[in-house]
Amino acid sequence: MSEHHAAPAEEPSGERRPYGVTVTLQPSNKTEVLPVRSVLQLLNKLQIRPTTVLVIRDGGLLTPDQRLNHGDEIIVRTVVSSG
Amino acid sequence: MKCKRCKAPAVVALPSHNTGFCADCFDIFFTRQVERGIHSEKLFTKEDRILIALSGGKDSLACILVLKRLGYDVTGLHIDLSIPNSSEQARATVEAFCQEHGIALIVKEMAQEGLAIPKVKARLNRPICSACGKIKRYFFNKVALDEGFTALATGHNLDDEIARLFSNVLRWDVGYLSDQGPMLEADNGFARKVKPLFRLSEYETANWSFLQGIPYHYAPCPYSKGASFTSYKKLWADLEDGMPGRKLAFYLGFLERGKVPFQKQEELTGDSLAPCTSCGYPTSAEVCGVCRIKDAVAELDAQD
Ligand code: SF4
Ligand SMILES: [Zn+2]
Ligand SMILES: [Zn+2]
Repeated sequence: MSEHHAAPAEEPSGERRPYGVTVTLQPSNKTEVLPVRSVLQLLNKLQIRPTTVLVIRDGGLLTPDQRLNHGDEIIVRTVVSSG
Repeated sequence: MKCKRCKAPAVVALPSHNTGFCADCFDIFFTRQVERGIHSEKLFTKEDRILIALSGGKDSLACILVLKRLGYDVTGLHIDLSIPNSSEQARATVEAFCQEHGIALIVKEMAQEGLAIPKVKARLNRPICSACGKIKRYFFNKVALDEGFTALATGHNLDDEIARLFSNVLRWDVGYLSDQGPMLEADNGFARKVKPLFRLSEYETANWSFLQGIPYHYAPCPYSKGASFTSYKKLWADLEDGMPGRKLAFYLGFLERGKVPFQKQEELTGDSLAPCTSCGYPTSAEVCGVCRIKDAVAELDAQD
């Protein structure tokens, strides 16, 4: 598993930061931190239908069944063309 | 989720096909859907010289890239609208893309034609988008005919087509219903028009574009009122959710059984077109809409 699984208690500050995934919506570029553990949970929370967005982590695409980890940075990009 | 073809981890989930694919297998799926559309509707062959309208958006870039990889004879056409904070970026995206992929590109500047969109907007007292759309279609057609292309392609996808069809049905617009579809034969003064991505959804096209590294740019036109047909697209997303595959079935059903009666009706009651007395473009008036806009802008310039 990735370093994202490091327990919050081990962070340098010693404080327990609450679990969170940082989500950036495109094209609006709004960012929020959400306590979600899978792509599907994330989309449900945002009330977005899976077939209307690309969900991107580290330059790669995620399917709705993928797990998310504390500290992940996720882009949710709408696919509806503006033309 | 695993890829349906090779069992590697999937990166694209496709509810409408009840399946998922890895990047390589999704490329195969996407490309085959395009080929199937080209063959089933007889859009064009390897002998055709195809001109593709490139706005800078992902759909038109995806369209030209997939056709080039399939071995078709393609050339891009970009219309530079001279709109501040938008046209420059769109043009730069298209130019860089064509250079990267070795694609021939024609750029047509509206400022040089006396049709810079901000000037047109200043002169018109109706919404700019319908005039702008008219100007773009006019030059797509003109360049295609002047330069001897045998087909003129756009990047419209299934969602664009469904939304347009639905809007035409709601108005029972016989004229539009008679000639909507992935292929419109050349007709005196009009080049053959084709939509090679008509079987692919917006979602599928966006996934493919991302996986091919097609750039994502967002510099919307300052005059844009937002995406067109948004409410119809939402409605259709609900319908598709309840019955995956319904969109494509509705569209193919129209082509097979719905379109011909509208064509027959249009032959009886439609406007007849004649060449514009100024430029030769087919029109139901004496002077075509674009020539009239051009004259109006020139008049304004003369007053300055
Ligand atoms: S939003 Fe309207 S004015 Fe702007 S490019 Fe599109 S059609 Fe033209
Ligand atoms: Zn695969
Ligand atoms: Zn004219």
